[in-house]
Amino acid sequence: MTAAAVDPAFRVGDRVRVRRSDPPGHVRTPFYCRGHSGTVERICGRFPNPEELAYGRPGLPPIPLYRVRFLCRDLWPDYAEHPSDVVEIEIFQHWLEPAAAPAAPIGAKR
Amino acid sequence: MSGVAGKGIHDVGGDPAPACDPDDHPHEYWERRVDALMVLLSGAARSPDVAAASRAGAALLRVDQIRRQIEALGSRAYGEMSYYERWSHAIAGVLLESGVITTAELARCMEPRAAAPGGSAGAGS
Repeated sequence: MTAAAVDPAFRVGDRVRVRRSDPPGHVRTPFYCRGHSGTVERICGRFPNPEELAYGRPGLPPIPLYRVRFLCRDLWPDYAEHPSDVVEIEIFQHWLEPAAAPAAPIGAKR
Repeated sequence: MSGVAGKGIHDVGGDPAPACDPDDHPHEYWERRVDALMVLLSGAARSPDVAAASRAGAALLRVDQIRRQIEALGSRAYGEMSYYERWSHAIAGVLLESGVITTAELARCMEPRAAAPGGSAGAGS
């Protein structure tokens, strides 16, 4: 299988939104972050798609994996701890789409 | 059941949870064997690069396949099985799927062991 490598579509600091999707089968994106927006904290590299590997297929070409940083209070409206607490989740590119204009990316020095 | 469509039985991130017991949990011997079996079957013992091991044919299963099998357990089984019981069930499921073992072989291995020497006669050799 010689499918072309998938290039990263997002850069560090980009705002991204997790697709709000509930496909059947093996899914590697936690339910609680779907539909929410966060900021790309780093690009982890390219890896075979685990949602394909789960069925014994090769999962190629490898696709970019990102570590995305979310504000806890964005994920849980009733979050009562520190307002700047974050949670970081590693999410594959096919689960992400561009989000609206940056709302002061967390930790970004611009 | 979580009651939320599209949310798997395993997908509990962010849900309310009881307090976590941070103490070390002793493991049964069979649980260590299940762990060792997983390492051997996934090729992790031969190479830290599981993907490379898989391409080289060293791996008979992927951890991703194990996760899928565990997620497919019914909510009752998922709730009642211990951690390594789920692993054991999932390993068997993947190996059956890929033809490494057959249901007949598995059934034979799961039959009650022959009586210990000196036990009741007539149980076969």
